[in-house]
Amino acid sequence: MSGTVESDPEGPSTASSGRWLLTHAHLRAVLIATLGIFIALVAARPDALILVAPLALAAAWAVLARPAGKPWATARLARQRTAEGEHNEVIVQGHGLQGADLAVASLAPTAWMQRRPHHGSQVHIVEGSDAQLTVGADPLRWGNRSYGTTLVGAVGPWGAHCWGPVPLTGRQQKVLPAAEHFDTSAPAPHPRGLVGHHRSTRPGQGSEFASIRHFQWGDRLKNIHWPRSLRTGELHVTSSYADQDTHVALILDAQNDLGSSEGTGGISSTLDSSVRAAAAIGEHFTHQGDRVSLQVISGAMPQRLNPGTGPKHYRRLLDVLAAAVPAPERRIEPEKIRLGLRAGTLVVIVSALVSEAILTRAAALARSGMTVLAVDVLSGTDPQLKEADAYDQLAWRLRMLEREREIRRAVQAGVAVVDWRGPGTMDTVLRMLSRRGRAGAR
Amino acid sequence: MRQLIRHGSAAQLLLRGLIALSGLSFTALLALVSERGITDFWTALVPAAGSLAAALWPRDLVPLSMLAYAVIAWVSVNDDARSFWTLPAAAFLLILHTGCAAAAVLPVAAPVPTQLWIRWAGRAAAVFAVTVVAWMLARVVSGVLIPGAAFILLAAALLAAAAALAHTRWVRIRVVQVSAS
Repeated sequence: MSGTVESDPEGPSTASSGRWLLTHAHLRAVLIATLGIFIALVAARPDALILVAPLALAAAWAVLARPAGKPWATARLARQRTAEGEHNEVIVQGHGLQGADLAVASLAPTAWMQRRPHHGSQVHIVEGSDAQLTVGADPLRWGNRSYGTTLVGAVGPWGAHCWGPVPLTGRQQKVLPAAEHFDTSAPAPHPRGLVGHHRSTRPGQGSEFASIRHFQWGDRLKNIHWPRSLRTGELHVTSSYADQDTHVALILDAQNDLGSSEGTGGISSTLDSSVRAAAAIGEHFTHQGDRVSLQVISGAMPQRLNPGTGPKHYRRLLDVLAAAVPAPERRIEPEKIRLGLRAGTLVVIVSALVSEAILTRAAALARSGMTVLAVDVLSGTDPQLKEADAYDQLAWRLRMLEREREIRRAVQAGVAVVDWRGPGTMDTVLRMLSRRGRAGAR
Repeated sequence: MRQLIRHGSAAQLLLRGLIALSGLSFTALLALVSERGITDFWTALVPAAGSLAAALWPRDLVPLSMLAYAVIAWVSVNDDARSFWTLPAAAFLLILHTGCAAAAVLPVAAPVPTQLWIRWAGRAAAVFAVTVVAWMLARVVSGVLIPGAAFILLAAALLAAAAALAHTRWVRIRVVQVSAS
């Protein structure tokens, strides 16, 4: 191996100070040619000379056409932001390859990274002094993923001189979760903002028709309803309901990761489902103009994202979700449970609901007057217990019975629990909560 | 070897087959020239095993050992120093050496670009053409007639080298045109 590697966290990783080395093939050609010449001279056998003449010529050709450049290479990623299941590529650029025959790049296999082609190697014929090799690297699962080390090398004519293989350090990159398909047509229960998508219970500036009433000082002239005004002889205006937004507080339970994961398109663990469901809910509400905050509950890396809306905020939300690391929470601080959550906030907890702590937290929030909706990602899924023995399966069944009891208690405390099933998951319960809110207002 | 069987690309397997075939062809030629038959240990079994080993382990010392043994065995068993069979024997050794050199540097699982096959085959043909000319000169100097087959061999080698050279030049011009546009 010849060359040093420089890795810059921002820029491409570069291998430099390389030099061309002789290969076994060249030494072999020289040795066999020498042997043939020696036999020809000592034993007076011209056929030995003829026999090794091609190898001698090949060795001479290789020396005359020796690669002249000072080789170096860089590796970079084609896309700096990638979601799981999307395509990305490692682009290797070789420079100073004058006289080289071919350049080779090979990407090492890493966890949750699918190489394209599946063997991760590319061979490129060098024409000139530069060569570009592209190896596909498609992330299969969200999280911090390494793209693996790329080995790059080049070979001169007759395979007589080689440079490398030189390792180019792989980049660690955050792979964003792919949001599942989600949609809801139900209104948020308590919209409190100034502008937004949800119809308020109060009249105001908005797009949804409320009534036709007499003109009052301050009404806009464009709101005058001329047919009614002409018919009655008095000015009438159309009034509307105010449009308001709501604050959706997403809470992701990253304390447990049950089941095995095969990445996108395969079997999902509970944390996979939770992260993708949270991404889907976040996408829906941020795109319709609501303020969405995020709290990742994990003993390893708890994180918070302040409320915000719009596509940029959604990208920030995905970044936070991608950094989720499963670890049980060591300590719950009751005074911090409601931190940043004001009255009218719709709290959506996405969880497998196997931890008693998360249900306690949900119940505490519900008792404090918040609208709490727990999305259960474990129900309806079958955790992979095929390899578990009979005792493990029995323990699992007992834990599931306990879980049902804990969920019932949380429901009694005012937490609405729904199973995650993609589009329409929250419709029924949100409508019920809206009705309950209006009945309370009356 | 396990990696080759599990992950070897079609081109890499073809390359290994070419190495084995050229070695076995040399072995057959050696057996023919020695007139000892195909079951003789030193002129048939050892070079045949060496050919297969060179195909399986082209990166190690096996090809060097095989080529050294081939040269020594040829000189030992061939009584006619100006024999025409020296030319095909030299061609087989050249193919074995070139195939081992290519197999050693190419990734086992990666497909080999067609252009590389053409380029390396053209070079081998050019080198072999020069060898044929050298052999013919040696025959002329020692006052021995040149057989017609040698001319056919020379013409074939020259033609192959010219075709490969023309293809390489055409590809290079096309690359330059594409990069310019």
